[in-house]
Amino acid sequence: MMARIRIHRSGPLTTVQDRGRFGLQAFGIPTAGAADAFSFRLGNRLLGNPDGAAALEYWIMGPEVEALDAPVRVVLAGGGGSLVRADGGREPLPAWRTATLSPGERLIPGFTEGGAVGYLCVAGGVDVAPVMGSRSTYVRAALGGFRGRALASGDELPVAATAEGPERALAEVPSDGEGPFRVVLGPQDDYFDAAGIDRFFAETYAVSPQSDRMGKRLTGPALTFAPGRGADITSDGMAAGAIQVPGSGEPIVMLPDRATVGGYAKLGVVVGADISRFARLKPGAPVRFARVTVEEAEAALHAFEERLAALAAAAVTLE
Amino acid sequence: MHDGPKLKSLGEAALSIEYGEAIDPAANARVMALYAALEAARKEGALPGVVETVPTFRALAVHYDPLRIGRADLVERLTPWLDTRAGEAVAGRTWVLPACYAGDFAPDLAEVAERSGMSADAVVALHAATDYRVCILGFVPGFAYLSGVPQALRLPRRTSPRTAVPAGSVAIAGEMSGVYPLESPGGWHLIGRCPVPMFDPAAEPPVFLAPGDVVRFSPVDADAYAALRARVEAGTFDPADLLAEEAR
Repeated sequence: MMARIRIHRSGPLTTVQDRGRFGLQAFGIPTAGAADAFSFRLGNRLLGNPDGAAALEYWIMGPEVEALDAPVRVVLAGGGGSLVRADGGREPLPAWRTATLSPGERLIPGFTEGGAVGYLCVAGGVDVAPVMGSRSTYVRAALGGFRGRALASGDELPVAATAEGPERALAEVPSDGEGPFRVVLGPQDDYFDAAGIDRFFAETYAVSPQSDRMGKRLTGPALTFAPGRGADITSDGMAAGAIQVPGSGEPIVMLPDRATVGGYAKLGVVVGADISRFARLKPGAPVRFARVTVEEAEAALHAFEERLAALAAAAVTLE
Repeated sequence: MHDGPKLKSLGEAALSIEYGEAIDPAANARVMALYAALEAARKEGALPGVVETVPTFRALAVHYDPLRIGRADLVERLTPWLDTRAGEAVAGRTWVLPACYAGDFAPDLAEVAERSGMSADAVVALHAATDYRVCILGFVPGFAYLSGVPQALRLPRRTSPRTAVPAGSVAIAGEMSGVYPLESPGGWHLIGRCPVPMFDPAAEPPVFLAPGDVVRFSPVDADAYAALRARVEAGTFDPADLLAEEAR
C-alpha cells in the first residue's frame, strides 16, 4: 500500500539520496548518492530494506515528517528525535530504533549526533521516480530526487510502505572505525615533494566550514609541490575521497556531488572503508591521515562490509 | 609518446590509465579507442565488477567494485586491452549546433575580435567554419570540451572568471570551445548562445553529445534563436534534428 510523507519543517540541505547514479560520468553526470553510506545502509538494513532504498539525507537539522494515507515505518540513522502520536503525546525516538507512524503522526528529528549528517530512512524507501537509474538528488543540475531540489515545508513524497512485523533496534550506537583516515596515494602523488607528503601524514588538519556535498576543504599545513610541478594537471577522472590540492596547498576531499573530472593534482584517495566517517565530520573536526596500500584498502573494505553485516545481524526485535 | 600506458591508483575502487600528462591528439585517440573497447566489453559482461569508465584528454578512469574484483585481478583482465589503438574506436556522429553570435549573447565577442586582430564577423565566421571534436564531457552534466579552436582564436582564460555564466553560452578558451549546459561559474570567453539544451534530465539520453563526436556551429539570428527556444520550451525539439546531413 502506498503512503506519503509530508515535510513540515526542514533544514536547508535535506535531499533524497540512494547509493548514487552510476554509468554516466562519461557524460559529465556526477554520481551523487548518500555521503555517509555506512549510516544510510545500516538504517535501511534495520528496516529490512535493500541497501539502495532511497532515504532523506540531512545535515545537522533533520526534516519533520508526517505520515499520510497509511502507516510509515521510519528509523533515524545519525541522531535521535521524538514522535508526536495521534493523541498529541510525545515520546522520544532514539537513533537506530524503528518506529511506525500512523497517518497523522509525526517524527521530529533532533540534531545529528556523532557527525554532521543523518538519514531518515523509511521502510520500502522513498519512492520518487528514478532518473537515469537513481533517486539521488543532484541539486546543481536540478536532477533526480524530489523535483531536483532540497526538500521544503509542504512537500509530499511517496513511500513504498511495508510497515509489517515488530520494531527493531540496534543494541548500541554503531561505529565504523576511528583513528586516522587511510589514504591510497595517487594518481598524482609524484606532483608533491616527499617532505610535503610526509608532513601531510604527520600533521593534523581541520575541516573547514566551507564544506558541502561536493567536498570538504581542510585547513592546515599547506602541501608543497615537487620541483617543476604545480597544482594544475590536465583534467582527469575523479573518485569519492580523492584529495585534490589546488595552488593554495590546502587539500579538498571530494564527496558525492563532486565534478566528474578535475584539474588539480590528486595526492591520494581516502579509502572506501573510511569515506563514510570522513563525510560525517563536522566543521572544525580534527583530521589525520595514514597511508596504506591498495591491498590494505581492499582488506579494510571487506572488514567494513563484515562490520556492517554484523551490526545489522545483531539488531534486536522489540516487544 | 611511450607505448604502454601508466596504471595509477585512484583509490582502491578506481584505476587511472594514463597516456602521458599533456593534452595530445595521439594520447586522446588512444584513450578514446580504449574507452570504446572497454565499454563494449563491459556491456557484454566481459569485465565483471567494472562499473563505468570515464575518458579524459589523456587518461581513462576505470571505476570498479573492489568487493567483486581486486586490483590485481582487474589489472590482469585489462592488460590485453591496453594495446588498443586509435582506429579501432567507433567513429563519432557529427552535430550542427545553432548559435546566435549577437548582442547580449556575445558579451566577449568584441574583446576576442580586438585581441585576435579581426573583425567580429570574421571571428564568428572562423568559429563556425571549424569542425570540433568532443574530447571529453565533464565537470558538469553535458559540458563538452570541444577541441580544435583555430590558432587565431586561441586566448587564455579570462583573468577574472564570471561567477555566473548563462546556460547555453558558447565559449572559447585556448584550444577548446564549449557550450555551458547549466548556469555555472566560468572563465571562458562568451561569444554566442546556443538555444538547444546540452543537458535535459527528461530526455533519453539526457546528454546527446558523446565523447568522440564532431560538432560544428551554425550561426542563427535572434529570430531563429527565439523560434528554436520556443520549440525547446514546447517540448517539440528533437536533438536528432541537429545531426549533420551526412550522419542521418
